[in-house]
Amino acid sequence: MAQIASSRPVGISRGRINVILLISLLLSALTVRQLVTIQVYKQVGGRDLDARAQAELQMHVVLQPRRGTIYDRNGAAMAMNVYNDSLYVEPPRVEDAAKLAIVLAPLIGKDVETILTKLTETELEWDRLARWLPDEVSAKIKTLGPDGKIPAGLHLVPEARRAYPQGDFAARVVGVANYEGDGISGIEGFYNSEVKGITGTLQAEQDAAQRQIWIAPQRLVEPQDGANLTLTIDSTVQRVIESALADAVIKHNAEGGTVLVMDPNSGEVLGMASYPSFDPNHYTEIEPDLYNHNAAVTDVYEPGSTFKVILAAIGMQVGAFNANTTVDDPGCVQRYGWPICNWNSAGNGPLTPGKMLQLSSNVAALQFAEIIGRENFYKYVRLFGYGQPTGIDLAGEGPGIVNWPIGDDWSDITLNTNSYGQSISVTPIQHLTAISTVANGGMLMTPHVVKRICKATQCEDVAPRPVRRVLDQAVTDEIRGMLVENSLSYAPVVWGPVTGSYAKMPLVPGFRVTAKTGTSSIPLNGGYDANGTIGSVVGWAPAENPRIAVLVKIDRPKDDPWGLNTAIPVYQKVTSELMTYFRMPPDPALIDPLQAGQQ
Amino acid sequence: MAMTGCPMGEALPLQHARERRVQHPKYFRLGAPGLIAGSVITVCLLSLLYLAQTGRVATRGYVLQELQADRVGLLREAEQFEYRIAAANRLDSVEARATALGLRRAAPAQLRYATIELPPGPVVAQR
Repeated sequence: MAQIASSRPVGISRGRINVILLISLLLSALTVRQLVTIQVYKQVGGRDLDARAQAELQMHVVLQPRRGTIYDRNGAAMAMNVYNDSLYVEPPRVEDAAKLAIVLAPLIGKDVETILTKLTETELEWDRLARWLPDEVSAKIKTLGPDGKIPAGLHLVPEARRAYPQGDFAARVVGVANYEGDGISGIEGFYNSEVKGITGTLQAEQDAAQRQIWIAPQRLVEPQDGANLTLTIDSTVQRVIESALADAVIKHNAEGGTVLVMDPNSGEVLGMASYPSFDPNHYTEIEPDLYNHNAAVTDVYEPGSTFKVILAAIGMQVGAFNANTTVDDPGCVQRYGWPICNWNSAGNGPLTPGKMLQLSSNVAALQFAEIIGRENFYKYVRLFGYGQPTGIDLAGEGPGIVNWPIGDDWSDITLNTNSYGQSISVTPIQHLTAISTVANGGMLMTPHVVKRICKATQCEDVAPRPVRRVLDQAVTDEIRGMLVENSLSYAPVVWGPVTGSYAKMPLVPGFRVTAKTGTSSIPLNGGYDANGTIGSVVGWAPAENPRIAVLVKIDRPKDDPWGLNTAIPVYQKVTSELMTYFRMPPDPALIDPLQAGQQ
Repeated sequence: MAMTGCPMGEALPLQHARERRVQHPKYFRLGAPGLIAGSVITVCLLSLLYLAQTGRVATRGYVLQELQADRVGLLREAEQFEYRIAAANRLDSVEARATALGLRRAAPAQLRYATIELPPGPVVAQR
């Protein structure tokens, strides 16, 4: 019976079956609903599955352009990119952090505690331990692990940095690009948009190893590398002037100085040195004031007697006087209730413009300015480019300060003081540009420091840019003769101690060169600083068909206040060496017998 | 039938050929199952071809990626060398090496200049 009973089919009531069916139906409905949610609406728990999948699958990479290289005019690299490994840590993957910190400390130059903190900060996914390691350190870290490989959790990632292989050489011209790759001073700053390049992007699909899947569609915007620049700066010229300037500043215990060398015919700046310089490779370790400004284009000073060259040129250009016109120099004169005297208060009698320049007579200069007249004088001061930036392609150029007759700072005596370079402030580049106008026959040129710009395979030469004709050739010929005479009278400063003769002789043996010195007072609190001067000289060489125009400025020399004694030796040395460098053959007739054996 | 009253031994060759031609299509006639099987085989073949091609492109892509990485590495290495060359060519380094070799700067009086008169017109270098 029991067997019969067990073989009978189990009886399930209709109600139970309906309940089971209902539950199954509900479960099926839930499953379908979930399927629709996932497959159609692509969402789970409010999370967008599609977006998450895309985020994992899609790669979006910013492609960095290569910052352009800066070369000197002979092809020597001044600023370029190099790649060094930076050390990153993935804290969750680090093993034996304490030991690793002790090993890493001497290699990356950080203390153990700092490293240990970074290694154990497990809430961070990724952190940087050190940037731009030297190659030998990077190589050591790569073998630090127990298996001779890089320790777990450490990563060496190559990163670009801006490097300056010439160190402090021409640093003020080249300038600095910061760690983010943006130029902040000098050429790096002025040409940042050209040199930096344009970033590109890559949007594509990636595999689990974050490698691009090439068969998937991609959107690529190629990065555009920055332009390579070739400067007008000549490394040899630069080295000559940096060396001569440093020697002079140290010798005279000066606070600083500037030397500029320009091709007066084209406006190309061949050398630009300011002391002190700095090493742009370590710019963060120095004061921003040092690397952020280039004294040759930003700093203003009163040009002093070197401005008398401009005065003489203006007077002869407007026909106010000629080379034979004389004015009387009693040593001191009164103007508007103020006494105006020569540097030694000594009178010189009747003076022509040439003698005014040679004796550097303030009294004669102010009288020549009065003959020129206010209107003509300031018209030409403006035509020479004073009181306005020259347009040189360097960051931070200043306009200088001219008290124009229509301004509030103007007084009647301003014309008199301006005539010998006081109450007017110029930048060195502005003054040398004006002097170059006299040197090249009267054409004002725009100075520039970039000679060629190359983008990809396309190169564009920067052509000389004439601004305007300021002087007639005849006038510049007259001024040239006067300044050659000046240079002969300056020669004893250099050659006197060597030859024992303090007579006139060629300043640079074998060459006719021009020169005019100046000793400027330094404005201070509405007056002038009694404790310092600026010694300077301007000129060009050779006098005919000039190859270089030179400005030398020595700031606050302690042992000698006169530009004649501080700046002329620098000018002589620079001019002499550069004549040799430019393969200019000397004229034996222009070598004094006493100089012949002393060169 | 196509066979006429001609005796067997006398059947013309042209006639035989015509008969065979009439019967030919039966070898190419496909029913529904044949069409389906043919389509499946064709799709399979095309898929295999496509897979093979995409696989090859993907592999080439990875190779290309590796080559690009190599190129970047070599360019970086070249820049390192360029940097070292530029640093070694610093004029003060050059002067120091020259001085160490016993060389010294020539005095102006030691220099000799040769002036070469060039003929008028363009100058062409000649061997």
